Amino acid sequence: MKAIKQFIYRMLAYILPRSAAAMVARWLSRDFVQEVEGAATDLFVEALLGGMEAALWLCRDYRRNILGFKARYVIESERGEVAATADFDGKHMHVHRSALSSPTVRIRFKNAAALRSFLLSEDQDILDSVLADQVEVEGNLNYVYKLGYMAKNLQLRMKLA
Amino acid sequence: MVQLKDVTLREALLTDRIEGLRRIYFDTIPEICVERPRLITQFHLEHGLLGQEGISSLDKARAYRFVLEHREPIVYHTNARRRDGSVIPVEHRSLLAGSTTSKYKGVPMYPELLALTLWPELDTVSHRGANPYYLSERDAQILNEEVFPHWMDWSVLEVAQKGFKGAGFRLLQKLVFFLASKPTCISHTIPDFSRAVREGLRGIIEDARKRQGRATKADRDFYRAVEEALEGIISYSRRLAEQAERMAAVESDDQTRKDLEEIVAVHRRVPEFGATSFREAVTTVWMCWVAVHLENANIGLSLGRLDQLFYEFYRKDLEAKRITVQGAAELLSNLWLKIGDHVPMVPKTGEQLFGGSGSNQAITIGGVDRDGKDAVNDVTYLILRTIELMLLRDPNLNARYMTGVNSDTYLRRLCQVNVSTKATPAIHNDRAAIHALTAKGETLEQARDYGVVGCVEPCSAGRHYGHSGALLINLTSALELALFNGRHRHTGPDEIVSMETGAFESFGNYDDFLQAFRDQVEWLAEQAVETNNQLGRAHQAFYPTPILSSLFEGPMAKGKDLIEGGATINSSGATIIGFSDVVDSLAAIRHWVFEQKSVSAQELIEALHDNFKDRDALAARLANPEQTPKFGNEDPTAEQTAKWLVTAIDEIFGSHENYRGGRYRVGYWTMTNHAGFGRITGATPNGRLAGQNFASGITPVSRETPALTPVLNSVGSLPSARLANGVALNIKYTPNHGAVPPLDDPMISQFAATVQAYFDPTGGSSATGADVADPSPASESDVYGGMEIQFNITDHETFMEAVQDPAQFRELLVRVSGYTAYFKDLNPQMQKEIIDRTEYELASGKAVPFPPYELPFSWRVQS
Repeated sequence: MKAIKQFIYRMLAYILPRSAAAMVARWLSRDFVQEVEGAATDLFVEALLGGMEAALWLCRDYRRNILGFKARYVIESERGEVAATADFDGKHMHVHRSALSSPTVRIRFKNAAALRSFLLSEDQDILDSVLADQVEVEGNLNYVYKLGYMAKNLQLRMKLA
Repeated sequence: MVQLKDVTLREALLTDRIEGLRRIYFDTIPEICVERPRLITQFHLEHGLLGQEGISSLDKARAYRFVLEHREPIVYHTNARRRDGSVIPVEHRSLLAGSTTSKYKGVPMYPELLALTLWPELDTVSHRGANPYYLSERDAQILNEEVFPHWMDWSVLEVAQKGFKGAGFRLLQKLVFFLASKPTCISHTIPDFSRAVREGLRGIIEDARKRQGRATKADRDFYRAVEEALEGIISYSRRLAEQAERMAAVESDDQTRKDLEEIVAVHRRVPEFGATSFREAVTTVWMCWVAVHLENANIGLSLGRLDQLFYEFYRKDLEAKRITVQGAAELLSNLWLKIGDHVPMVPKTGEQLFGGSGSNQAITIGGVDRDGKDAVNDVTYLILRTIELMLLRDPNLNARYMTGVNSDTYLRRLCQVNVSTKATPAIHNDRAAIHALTAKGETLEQARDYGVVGCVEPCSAGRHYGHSGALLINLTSALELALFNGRHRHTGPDEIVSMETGAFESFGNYDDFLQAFRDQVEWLAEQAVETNNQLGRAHQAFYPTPILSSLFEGPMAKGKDLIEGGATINSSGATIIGFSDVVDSLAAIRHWVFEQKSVSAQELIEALHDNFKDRDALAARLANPEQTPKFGNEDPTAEQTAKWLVTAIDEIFGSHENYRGGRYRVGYWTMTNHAGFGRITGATPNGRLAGQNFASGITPVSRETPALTPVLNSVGSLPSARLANGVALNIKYTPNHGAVPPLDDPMISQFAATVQAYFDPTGGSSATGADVADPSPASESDVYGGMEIQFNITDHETFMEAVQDPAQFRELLVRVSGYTAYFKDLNPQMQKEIIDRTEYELASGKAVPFPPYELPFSWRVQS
């Protein structure tokens, strides 16, 4: 199923003009749009990574973000429940619903709204998030900054800023 | 030395050229420059420097030479950017060629340090609310794709954290305990320009070559690094000359062509060879300054005693009629604009703690020379006049004053410039500062030759590598750990952060509690020092500084980079945040809990937990200076506590060695951190509510000292030998209205007399010039007077108007706690701190009543 989805994405990216591909990416990211525009729910992480995945397949310039990029992010709730793992292998992004071993960075968040604020809010305030113990990061913060950029860039592409 | 008939230089005014360049300076938004990070990354990748065990001084020098040989030689800028991103043409031409970045006002990026923190903002930084930087889409793409990805695992912070087992980095991430600045920079020091000016860089290169012959392999590599680095600077200057020559060849305007031809002539000679004129000396300093910033982050690097360096060149040119006073003033004004042509990169998340800061490039004037003689000269007054006219936040002007040696006229002029600029210069007491430095082992000559670094830190110029801002300690955290038995309200009641020193309710007397507090300070210092040393070792492995080492006393003789301990004098600096709040808290605990016993330990702890909710009367009593001992009111309990505290902290930090073999020194200046740390700290026993600002620097808590004289006496009575990393005493005066008063005006007389009394409270009967050579413990009881004082001379109403209409007050300069800033650039929390500072009426010395400023709703701390 996953392979078919990726095949379709790849085909669309190949045949559609850039603007049309971006529109399709936006439609495919509708869950993310909803999570950003409405109240953030427990599905925020999934929606964010799903949106990123679609944009990475469909938008060539967005895809440049992950060329040669190898990292593994585990994103989990404060109770230690894994929301998702995003695995970058230098070419593609793979999203898993379970924790993979040896993460480059582990992001633990109190609730979805805190994580959304941490990564996306207009008044993005990582300092306040850390101070309020809303989000805790284990590992190399530079990887969080990169993820923050990709999330923000996706948000702007979807015209959600 | 002083030949000027009018030391105020009233007739020296800004020329059209400087007016034009200055106007553009205020109209423009800083622009992020990708030139350095792109070239540095390219060199590191092409030479496989990333991924190695370390990077040698020689490889670093080659990298910097590569950048200097490949960056664009910009003779003068032709455009800049407005806040909306539109282009402003720059019509006037600077007399000084070259620039720190490729922009008129640039933000240099150091991916080796903390540039990557800006990554999430690459698409939005041009439009962010607080202190935006212009960044084009193309440049954002360069940073995102060609620069940042390569440094993710190789920034100093990441390198330092690898394999480090201590708790320090976890505490660092929690932010409430201490901050360590080495991930951002070391920088805080003063290069030695004298050799470059006198012999030229070619002279230093020749010296390095000679030393190679008799050096070991490691030392040889260092000397080769010096050669590489300095050849790079020479090459950059020559390329500027070549570019100026090309421009002159096609220039139709006679004056511009003449200016360009002069630039060609100057840059063909300096900095390669020794300077022969005032202009060449200024250009040498400027070229070295550009290169030093290419290597070291633009935070706190300071220029030292420029009046001493330039005076002989100025005098000879003036005598030979090669220069006029007005011409010299124009050149210096140009230099200030060039020095201020960059701002440090602060991510949005850092705005709370550092918002509004410039690069804190201190210049020092006046005081005494190495022989103890009056060092004030005509250039001292020229610098004062140009700073007065320019009103730039950078450079940060610091004036030294030696009572009994420097003239009364000079002191009056310092006060007058403070009135006219509203905030500068800071004034330093030579007697106290020299005593403090000799107490730490400097010779008298070295100590007398001190310059001010960054904010207010005294440091023997050109020979002391002190990283004075290495650690910023939130002292209230140690108090918190003592009150809550090793726990901190921020990390929760279940986690023992440090060690259990006893429940507050269990202490039978004040001394036992004080010992617990001291134990917690020792623990905190240990964590902070260990973290700083680990970061220092990462710098040693990956960030040697051959350019700065070439321009310093010590590395050439030792054959060692500065980062390896090459300097003649080595130390690291910690600065204390929350000093007066802790003094007042300790004094309140002693008075009410242990002496009066009218507040139980349990009641106080509960009140702190609840942020004094439903305990308004207790909070009011603790905050009331008529009921509770307060530092700054000559209260014996508070003063005894303050003296005990500075002594204990100096002993604790002084017992630690840094990674370069030097000791730690302690200072009391806070930049904007007293607002930032205050915002994230709970209620304290001095009646301060959660989230409220701490007092700045070594200044007593605002609104609790109704008269100025006791403030000056209390602060001035602290032992200066324990304050070697500098202090900031912030005093706010009600300004007089109307024109700036003349030097003989009673207002200036009163101002000068106040400073004089603070610096020499015995009126000259103690602490003679000879005393300062004696650093023995016995001399601690001698009175050397207050160490430093700085002013804001703006009233409450004006500040309130500036909050309402920042555009109308864009040039309103303020002293934060150390450096100068534009009031409009400060975040609301910091604006509140300045507005709420006690304001004294100069004639009476009495506090002026006004209501506390209400923060905008979004900035209020929810308890």
